[in-house]
Amino acid sequence: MKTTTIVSVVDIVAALAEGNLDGNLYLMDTNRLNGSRDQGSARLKTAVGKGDRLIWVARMLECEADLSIVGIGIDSSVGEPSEHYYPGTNVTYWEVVVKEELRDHESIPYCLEYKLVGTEIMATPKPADVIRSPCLVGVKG
Amino acid sequence: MTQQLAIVAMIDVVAALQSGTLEGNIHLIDNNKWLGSSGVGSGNLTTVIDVARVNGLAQAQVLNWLVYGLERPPPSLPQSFFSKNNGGQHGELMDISGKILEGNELSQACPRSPDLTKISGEALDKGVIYPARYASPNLVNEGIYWSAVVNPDKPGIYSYTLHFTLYYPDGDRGRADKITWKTVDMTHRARIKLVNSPYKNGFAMVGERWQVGQ
Repeated sequence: MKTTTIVSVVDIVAALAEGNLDGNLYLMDTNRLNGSRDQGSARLKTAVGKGDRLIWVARMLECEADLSIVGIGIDSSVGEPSEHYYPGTNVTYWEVVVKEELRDHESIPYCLEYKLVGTEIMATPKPADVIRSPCLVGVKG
Repeated sequence: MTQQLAIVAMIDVVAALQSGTLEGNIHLIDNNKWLGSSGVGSGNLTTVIDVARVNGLAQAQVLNWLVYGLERPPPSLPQSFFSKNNGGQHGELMDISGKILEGNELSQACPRSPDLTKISGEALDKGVIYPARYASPNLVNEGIYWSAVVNPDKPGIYSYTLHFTLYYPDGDRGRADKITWKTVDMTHRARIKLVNSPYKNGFAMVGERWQVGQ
């Protein structure tokens, strides 16, 4: 089973100052060599195939500013997100196993919801759209 | 006021090793985009640093570099999570979800975090930044980080080169006790831009150009 990791980095101070994630969220994944695009932006397009295991983790930019993912909204026919704790800790990751093969270059937008500094909830665009949101994209072969 | 500036280098270690370069496989993110840093999130970062004096006093600016492997479990995990009896001192024998790997599963092991071993280049040669490697009881990256003080009397744009060591597992991957870690060294260039006034709008340079023409 292939695993792709999708990492979120948020400039938390800027996001809190501006009241939203626009321009303050950076998404990167480990599947660039297989077709993922728009690395380092909030519109990351992650190349996926049926059966792939996707793991989302969050990392803070500054040590003292806490960040966690609290929700992933995606078409349930593509995958059902679940939250997991690293054993013995209160740090979480989110997992989706891709249920179906996407058509070549088909885009499935999804929404990421974060908790910043333990209290503030902020999310990528709702409803998710293919232009402004992170997406899973089908890449044949 | 002393300001702590963070520059995080996120490296796709597996892709960098496969393609033999950091080009496209490193993302630099700083927390000074509000001041005008450009290329944030890409490999082409210019960090803007405000060295304006306030009441005649230079502001002590400190740059901190942190390096993460994209494939690694998050550094916010407690250090005990990575302890020797929990998957190796560096956590290299666990997968991204923290599962301890055994036998032939070891091909899924996360590569060790890359090390930043040296910072060199124009910004150092010209006495603009003075970096050093520190170890602290900090919980992330085993407490290793690089930090630099910035010379406020040198406005301008300067490049610097980050020297990384990347690790990949070698030997009998079916046996945890037979794995040895081989290294590959790679470099990446970035820039700093020291400005003398808060660069809060994009037209800050216009006034200077006007004066040249008058």
